[in-house]
Amino acid sequence: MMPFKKLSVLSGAILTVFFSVVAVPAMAHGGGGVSGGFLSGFTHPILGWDHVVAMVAVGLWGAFLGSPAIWILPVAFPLVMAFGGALGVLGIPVPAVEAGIAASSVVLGILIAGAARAPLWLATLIVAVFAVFHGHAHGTELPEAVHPLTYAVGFVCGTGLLHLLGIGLGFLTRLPSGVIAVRVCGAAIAVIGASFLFGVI
Amino acid sequence: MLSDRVYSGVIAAAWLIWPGAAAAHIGVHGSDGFVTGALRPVMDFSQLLATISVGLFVGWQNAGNANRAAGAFVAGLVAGLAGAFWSDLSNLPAGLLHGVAFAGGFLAALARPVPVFFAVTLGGAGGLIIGLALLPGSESVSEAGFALVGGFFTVTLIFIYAVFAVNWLRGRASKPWLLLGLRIAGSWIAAIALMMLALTLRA
Repeated sequence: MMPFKKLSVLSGAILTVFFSVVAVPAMAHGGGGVSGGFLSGFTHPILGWDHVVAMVAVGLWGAFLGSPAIWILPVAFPLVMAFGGALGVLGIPVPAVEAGIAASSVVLGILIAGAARAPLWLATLIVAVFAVFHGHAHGTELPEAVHPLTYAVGFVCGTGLLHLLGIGLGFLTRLPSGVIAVRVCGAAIAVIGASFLFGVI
Repeated sequence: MLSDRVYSGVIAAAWLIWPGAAAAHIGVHGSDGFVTGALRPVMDFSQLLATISVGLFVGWQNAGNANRAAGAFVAGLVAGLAGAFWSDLSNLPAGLLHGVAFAGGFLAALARPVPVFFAVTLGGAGGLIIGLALLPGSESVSEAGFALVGGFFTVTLIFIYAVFAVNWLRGRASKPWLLLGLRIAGSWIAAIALMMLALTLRA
């Protein structure tokens, strides 16, 4: 078990990095072109709460499942998400994208709340299926982006940082009663996802 | 695994030369072209991603394969630069660079050694395409030549840094998350490149 002090430092570092980066879009001079593309892409997953809770849930569930899921999920997700993004860019329709995004929060939230320990292949499959929906939503906006390349860099970085945030929170499971806190987080994620799914939010 | 001393020597030599490009008075003939060419692989994000991804991929290979793949990369880069210098390749498909970045990033994310033929092929093809994409865009032949030399210098440096980073961490990292970081970097590069590839195909 990781010592509490190390755990605090690690979680604190992840949170600090995350919020430091998130603070950038609040600058008065957002800029256009390259920087505008990056900021636009970076904020796309972060300012959409349906994306935020799902991405955090991926990291959280990965940390909850432990090794090797903790490293396979954040590696696999961007790749599959990019596949969904490519479908969006090419204009290939994927049915019920918004519902799929909301459902990802519901399903992942329930799995975390229920402390479900799925086999690695199943966990990867579940996350991969939902990654297609998230990627498609990002990819649809890519062609209209100010600077498509930096937009893509921005949203991949934003998504990855949300995963890391979830993994950081997931380290709570190594503390006494931390498992309960993480399961409560999972329940909250499921409720938020359901709110999106049924149009409450 | 490539020798750390070789990498350290190359990097030290490179940094000894580099300050010249940053000097206030750059009146030496060809220096403008050299600086322009040297900055090109850094300013063009597609080239940067492709170079880093091939470097990460080569870094994950076993010692012998990594040496051969690195050699193939440099040879391919030289061939590509020569092709860019003597041919009109202004219509080089942009998707090629993204394809290289995707392949390298994807294999770096897998973090598994591949057969030597495959490693050498990807290294060589990567170098060739990156070299071809470094079009000088200069009216003067000598300036264009200096620009290509500058481009060669920077691309090689970035490539060596990426290979060295993986080698160094693989040899010393006791923390698994450090190696995980390299795999995530490969995954992110592959993801970005795949979407850019799709955008290129769409156009």
